[in-house]
Amino acid sequence: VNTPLTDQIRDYFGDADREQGAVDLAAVLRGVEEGGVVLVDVSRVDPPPVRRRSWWVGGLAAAATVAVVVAGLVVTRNGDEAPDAADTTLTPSDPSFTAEDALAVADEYFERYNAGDVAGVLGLFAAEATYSSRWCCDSAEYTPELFEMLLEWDVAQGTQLIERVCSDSAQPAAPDTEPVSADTEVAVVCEYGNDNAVTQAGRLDPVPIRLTLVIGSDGIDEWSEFIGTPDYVACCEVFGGWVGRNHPDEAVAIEFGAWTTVDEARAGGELRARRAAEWAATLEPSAEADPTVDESESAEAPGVTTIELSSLDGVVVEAPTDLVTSEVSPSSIGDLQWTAISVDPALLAAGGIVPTPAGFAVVRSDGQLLLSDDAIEWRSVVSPFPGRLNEVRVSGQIPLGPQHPQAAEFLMDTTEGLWVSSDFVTWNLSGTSSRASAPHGLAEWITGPEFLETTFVSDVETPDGAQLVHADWSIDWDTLVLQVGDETLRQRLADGAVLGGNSWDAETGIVTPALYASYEDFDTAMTLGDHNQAYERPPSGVQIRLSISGTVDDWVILLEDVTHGETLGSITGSLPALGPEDPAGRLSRVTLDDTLELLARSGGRLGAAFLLSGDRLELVQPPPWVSLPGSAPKFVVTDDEVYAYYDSGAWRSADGRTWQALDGDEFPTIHQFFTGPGGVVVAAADPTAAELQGGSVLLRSEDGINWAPPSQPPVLPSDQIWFSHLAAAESGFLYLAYETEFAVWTSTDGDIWERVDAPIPVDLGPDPRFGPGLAMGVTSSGTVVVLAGERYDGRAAPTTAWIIERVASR
Amino acid sequence: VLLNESLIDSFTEWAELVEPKLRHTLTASFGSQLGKDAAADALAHAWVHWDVVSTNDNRLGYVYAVGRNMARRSARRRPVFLPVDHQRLPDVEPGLPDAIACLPERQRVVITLVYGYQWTLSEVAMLLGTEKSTVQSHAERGLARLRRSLGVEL
Repeated sequence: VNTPLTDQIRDYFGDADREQGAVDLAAVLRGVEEGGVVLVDVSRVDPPPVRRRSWWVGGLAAAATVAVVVAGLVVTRNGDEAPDAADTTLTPSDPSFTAEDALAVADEYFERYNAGDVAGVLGLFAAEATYSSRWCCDSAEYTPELFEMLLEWDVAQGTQLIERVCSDSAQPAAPDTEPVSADTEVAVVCEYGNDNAVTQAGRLDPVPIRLTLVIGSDGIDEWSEFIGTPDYVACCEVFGGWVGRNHPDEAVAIEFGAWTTVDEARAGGELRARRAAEWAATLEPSAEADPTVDESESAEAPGVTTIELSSLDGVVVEAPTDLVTSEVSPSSIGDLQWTAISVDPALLAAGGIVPTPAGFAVVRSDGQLLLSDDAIEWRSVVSPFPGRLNEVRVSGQIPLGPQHPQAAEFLMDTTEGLWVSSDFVTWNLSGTSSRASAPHGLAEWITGPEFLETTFVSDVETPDGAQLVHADWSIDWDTLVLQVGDETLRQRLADGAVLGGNSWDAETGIVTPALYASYEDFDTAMTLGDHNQAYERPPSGVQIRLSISGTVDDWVILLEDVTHGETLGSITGSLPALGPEDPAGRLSRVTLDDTLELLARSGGRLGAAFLLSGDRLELVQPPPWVSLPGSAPKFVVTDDEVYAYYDSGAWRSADGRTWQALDGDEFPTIHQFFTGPGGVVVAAADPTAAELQGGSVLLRSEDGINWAPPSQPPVLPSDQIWFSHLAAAESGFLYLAYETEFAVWTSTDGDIWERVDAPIPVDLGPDPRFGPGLAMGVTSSGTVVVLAGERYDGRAAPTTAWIIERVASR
Repeated sequence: VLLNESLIDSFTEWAELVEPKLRHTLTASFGSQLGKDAAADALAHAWVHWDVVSTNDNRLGYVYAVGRNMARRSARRRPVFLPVDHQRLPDVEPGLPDAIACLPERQRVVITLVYGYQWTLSEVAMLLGTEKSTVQSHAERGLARLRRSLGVEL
């Protein structure tokens, strides 16, 4: 598909919006009334006291707070009787109940819990208290009975809630779903570790919990826990596997929730504690420091380890090797070691780390300039520039976008202007108009035709309206459009009026610097820039570019190794079959044998396939799959054949020229292939992608035709987990990361997978609403494996927080 | 039983005005079907509590939070978006709905509202109670992630 992604999103949601249709408001109101609306006279001024858990009462009280309102609504659900305004079940507000009182109740809760006083804990709760539990990917509501069982289960296994930190000053319960009365309830938030039988026996980190207690004068009204990562499943998975192997008949009984009575819960907790102790006795003691390693030697010659974060579009950080290898954590893979390199999340919030001649630089989102020699230790420096700093970037580097090694200048973007330096020491003012940055609004990068990246188009939203500015190399700025109000501007953007840079006349071959007048022109015109090129799909260490230029009668197809600046092959002459369409799309490159490579382009208006032998580039008869819609095919190369998998079929070829469709009605919808040791292919697939149900699965094949799940697949906590990435190291290990799982699974054959606990810092962050974060990807470069992810800090953008590096033992 | 007609009129007027935006936001969070259902639930809630909602400075944000909390009780998996109709949308990647569904929620909401429904950054920032720069960051990261997921360059 050769349409800008933002346009695709606009078109898709525009169409989906029409399909979805509006909410039938009349039906909504009718449903409410038929469901039990009772209108009562609440014309009095003073609101009645309220209790939080009765949402109909909340509505009543809220209605009564407006003196002039002569009518309010009270709704009951499913035929419940509607109380009148003088409902005697309402609890009078207690002005003497304070935040300190609430904190005291919370403290009492923990004291009684740790003392094993289940009855005492339950006695702290109000009659209609609610209990809910959430972790990254799921949630549960507990009945009072189930909550009691949970307490018994925890107490029976000796669980202690440790290292708790409760909010210094409790806050009035904030309205979430229903309005509540702030003067009758107080929310206390506590963070602590759940040190259960397994974490105690295995000397594992306690399970981090954030517990919110909404406390009123009648006790705890709401108990809401958020379980951090590693959660129960993560922390106890190894233990669970041991029980499954050694006490298979107890595998269910020891797990959370495997009870229907209090007695069963208590017995389950006691059993869990016994088995945890037995399991811990089987664990090997922690590895001692390797006496053969000379730490002083490492300190003298630290070396540098470079880590490229593919999940951050190529952000590169370097860390001294001695630091990396001197602080290690035990790993479950042989004698390999893991090290966590802590990266201040705030550093990445502003758009990434920029390598400089002397180290690294970044502008935080608050405008503070930070420099570092090693990307680990950062120091704040006084900005030498007037105005607020927006960001520092390398010329041509798009924030969080691709980096280009040929960039040679550094740009310091401020609200007062744009400064340029070649050495990061001497700076020259190069433009008085800054890019549209945080103070203004959306800035949109457009890749232009004349350079690798030249044209920057931005719409600047100001209180007075919006303007459109344009710059080559982001230095000299021109105002293109000035409109009052941004509606017109957005319409122009949607129409493609400002997209692109140069137009190409297919008849004359004349390149004209101009902005496109409409999307249609853009679609049919041909540019000589990136829109005219297809790139090898990432990730790849070498960027291959296939570009087509010329006129209808005089074409040049050029295949280049962009990374090394080499021309790999070219085709010249008249190629009318290709037509003057924009050939943008994805380029897949497959090595068929030592001398022949297959390059397939798809996603544009027409696909094509080329064979590269030496420096000879040959256009071959288009295989049947190149013209199919959708994403690019996935290639699997075996010893003597190549397979092209598509959403709707699969083909194989021995030479890249002739293709044979494979029999079979269904092929796995493949997300990602990986060829492992011995030619074994591992694929992450979603077998029910059409319905978007269920999670991803792994498939394995030795011949590219027959697929089967691994005999020992990763054990995931839920079928709703989706894979992130596969990667391999030179050692032959395969790695697999799943979103929401802060762990890496590894295998040497794609068949037997084992979990590697990654020592990722556990931090719930202040806002668990969106979960603590996601693993974004795992990638490998030689002996280095990096797991990067996002962690939400609850205040700003998701930030990348972890880098896990696997270092081969010395 | 009393009925305040003026109250109903004001609610209806507001609801008709805000319905698309509310539905869009909840669709962004929870997908096409659940999002629409949540919008209906949230509007019902607003109707019941209109005397409170009507005094809120950020009515949409308030009702969005209500709908979001309601939908979360039902949401157990990734949001489901309508599939791409290739007849009507030949230039849209078939995998786009799935890729959007796989975005983290904040990125998904921002991408959907800004690029899908053409909201301004200010509108999204007000809805989410955050800064425009934060919304912009979500948009950039979300687009980058979508491009990686779909394997597209544009």
